[in-house]
Amino acid sequence: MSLLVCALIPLLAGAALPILRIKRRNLRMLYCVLATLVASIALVSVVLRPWSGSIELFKLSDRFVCELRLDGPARLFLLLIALLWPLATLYATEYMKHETREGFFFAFYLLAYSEAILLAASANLFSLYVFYELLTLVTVPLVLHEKDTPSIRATRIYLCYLFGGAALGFVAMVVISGFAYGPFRLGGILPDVVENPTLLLWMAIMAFWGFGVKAAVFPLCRWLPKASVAPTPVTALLHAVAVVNAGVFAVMRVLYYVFGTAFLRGTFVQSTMLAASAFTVVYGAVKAVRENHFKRRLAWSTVSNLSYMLFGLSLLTPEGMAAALLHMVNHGLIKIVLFFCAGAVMIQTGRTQIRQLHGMARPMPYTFAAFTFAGLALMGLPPLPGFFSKYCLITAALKTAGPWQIAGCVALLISAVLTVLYIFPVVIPAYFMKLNAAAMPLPRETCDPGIPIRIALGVICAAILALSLFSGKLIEVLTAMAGA
Amino acid sequence: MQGQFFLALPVVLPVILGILQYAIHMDERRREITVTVSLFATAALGAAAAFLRNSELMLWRLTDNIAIELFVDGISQVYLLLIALVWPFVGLYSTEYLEFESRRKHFFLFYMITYGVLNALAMSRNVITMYMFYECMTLCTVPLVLFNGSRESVAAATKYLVYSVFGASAALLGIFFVGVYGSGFRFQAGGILDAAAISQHEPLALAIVFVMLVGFGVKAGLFPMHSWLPTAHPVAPAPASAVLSGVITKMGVLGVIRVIYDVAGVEFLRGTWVQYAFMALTLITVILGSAMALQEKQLKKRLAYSTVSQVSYVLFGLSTMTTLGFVGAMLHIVFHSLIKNTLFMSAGSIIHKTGLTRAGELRGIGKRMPATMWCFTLVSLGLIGIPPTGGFISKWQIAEGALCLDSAANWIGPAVLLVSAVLTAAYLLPVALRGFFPGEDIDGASLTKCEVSWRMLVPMVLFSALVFLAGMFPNGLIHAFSEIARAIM
Repeated sequence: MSLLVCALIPLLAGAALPILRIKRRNLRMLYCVLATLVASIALVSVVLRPWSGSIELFKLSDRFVCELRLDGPARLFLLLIALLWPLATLYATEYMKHETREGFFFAFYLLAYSEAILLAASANLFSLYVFYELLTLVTVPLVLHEKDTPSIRATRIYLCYLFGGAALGFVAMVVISGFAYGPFRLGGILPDVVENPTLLLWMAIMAFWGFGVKAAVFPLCRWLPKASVAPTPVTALLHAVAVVNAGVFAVMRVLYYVFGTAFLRGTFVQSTMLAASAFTVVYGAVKAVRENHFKRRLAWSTVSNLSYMLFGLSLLTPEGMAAALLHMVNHGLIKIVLFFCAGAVMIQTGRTQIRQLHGMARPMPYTFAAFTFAGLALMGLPPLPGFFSKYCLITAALKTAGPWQIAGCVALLISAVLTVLYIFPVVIPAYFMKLNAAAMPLPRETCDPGIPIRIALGVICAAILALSLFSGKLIEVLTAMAGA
Repeated sequence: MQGQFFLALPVVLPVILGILQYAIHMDERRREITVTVSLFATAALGAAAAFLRNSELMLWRLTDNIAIELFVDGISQVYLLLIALVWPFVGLYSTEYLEFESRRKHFFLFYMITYGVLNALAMSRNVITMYMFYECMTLCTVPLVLFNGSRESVAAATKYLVYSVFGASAALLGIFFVGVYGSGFRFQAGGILDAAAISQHEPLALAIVFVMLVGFGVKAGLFPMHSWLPTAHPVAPAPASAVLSGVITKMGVLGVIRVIYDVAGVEFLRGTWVQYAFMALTLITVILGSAMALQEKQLKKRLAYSTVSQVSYVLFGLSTMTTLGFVGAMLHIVFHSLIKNTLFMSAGSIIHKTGLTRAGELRGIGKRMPATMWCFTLVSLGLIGIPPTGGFISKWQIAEGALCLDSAANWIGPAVLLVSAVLTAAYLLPVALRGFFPGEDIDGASLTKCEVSWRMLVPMVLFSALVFLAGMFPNGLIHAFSEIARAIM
């Protein structure tokens, strides 16, 4: 039951926020941070306790039961969001000073937390689908937040893509439930003999794109950069970590826990998935290099990195799954820092384009130090965590050494070079070129953000460092989790 | 951490001192002294570490088979000593060269951090450690290229960064391959590829070794990934161009040495298409670099093209996979490093005193800066390979190594080296000749003397003298390098 309580805390806190009408801003912010913090502490204590029971929320029929459970990947995902949600809320308390209607914003921000918890803990395909849709719904108002033309347009695209994708997922879910149902099991829940394997294989394809839409797999990737019109706390937490990783997570559930790797390995489904993800890896990185808008560039980079994870999953080996989960954690921490920095630059100086960032490291030393650090981690300088993701992904791919796997390795390496190409043209001019203060005057001599944002950045950077030093342990745990 | 802690000192000390000189406010005179003293102190530590043969240090164990660890073997020894010789003296040179630069503490900062990284790179015990410090080296030298902050230098630095990272990524693919099909990541004479594991994947293994060689070759200016070098080296301030050309390119060579001898193993590569393809690339680069240098008018750019050509001599020596070729390559690493540093420093001295950058403008420069131009001329002879300079010894050994091969390549190689030597003479000697013999139509009175001071002269004179001394008494070096060759083949 305690798991349900964890999900209810942010849900109720979020729902109560508009009712309570807390007048003083500081109190209101304190309320939001405390609510997420309490939820996170409760969540961590639940996750770290061994508990193998299940909670049934509601039941439509035997086939469609909404149920919660905790297993290895769920615990990992929950720990990740438990760490990041309070920090992102802390960041938002300072960031949202510069935006309107923040009460509204924080209410949905808290709701999204509870949906993410429920999604991670879903015990079967039906509950996964339900919370997948709910997560989309509660994030729509966050994307729409600005209520101006670009954000309305972005919201329209967001809705089309995500509901369109979920429709594919829905069909797949219903058809699969005709063959097999029940809680997720590593190795799949399909019976040994299936009547119509071809239909199921096509359903796997549909499920891959249906649930993969949140993970922005090509050609369903355009919504993610568009959605970066949302306030930065949303882009940073939801569209770099929670929502998009939920997509990866759902694909993992479908491939490893519903179909099972044995059923899919070596079929056309696998080669299609490998090809699509390898292509998206390069496509996203190329788009990132060509993009001049700071946040959109990072969003394209997310597209590329999410497909690293999908590629790992498509390998259909325990090592591949472990590598994908590792990259989910690593990329989540790194990308949230990058977005936080982009947002900090935006609210402090109003600069949003890459070429406006020349010389910005001098007035914002703290922000750009964090950005550079995270950038190095993303490009994979050992011993920072990006290196281990690549190491695990590529060794997992080389172990099978099929043609698509090798092609994927090459795609990953190309994308690594492109990573440098889209990170360093931000970093180098920021440190080494002259500040253009005439065209866009700076408000102050130093414009580093305030304490809340600095704390958020500092804590996550420290977490990245810790992660890099203890990657060995994490990889062991993940590989054991994936059943190798 | 366990092992010989002393090995960490030459890595950590320059980084700390570099940051301190940057962070602490001090007047410029004191900064010069601080930087010089720290560089020489580090050099002493580095040289001392070189003599701790076979000692090792585990810095951090990341996973069961991935660790950051250092050790000293024959090759690290050579590199440590070479860097300890070159780095502090060029540093001394830079204190005067940059005397009017307001931002020179940035230069010293990255110069000193790079020193620490290079020491670590020379002592890397496994491919992962090497990759890590290799990337660090790229990142720390980019600010050196960027020093003057012009649009041109930003473009050059970006090009440098992209090419280098591309090379490192290519090498990384090989590293991951080693992780799957090798017995651990530690360098080992004879290679670490697991013969049983790669038996079914031999074509793939060969292709990947080739990709690794080309990847590390990027830093060494190997064709077809050479074009960053003549762009990036000349835009840096002269001391930075000197070490970029003289030392940093050799780190690419270090990568190639490690791949050929300690990762793939000579036995595995000898006689395969990888050997011949790599050899062909090096020979193309030798000729191409010399030819490009010949048609280049800008002196520093000409020297950069010359680096492209000369470093491929080293790679060619390695690609023969013979003892003689290896010894020649190691000799050429040392001599080319000394020579190219001197050449860039003299070009820098000329810029510093007269502002002249084009080879054609240097008529009569020998009258104005005699000591500088004498150094330039002497090391030019060394680079061409005229006895009794060191350049002669090294090229001779490389050619002999090539002649040991039992394929058609055994005469092509020496022939190409010979042609390139002629081209080298053609692009270096006219500068020296016109410098000393400007012709009748130049007004002798206008040639005022403007020699640089001792801080810039000492490194040049010392390196030129060493090139000659080592050329006259090469037996000690040849013996030492043959020992190393025996150990790793």
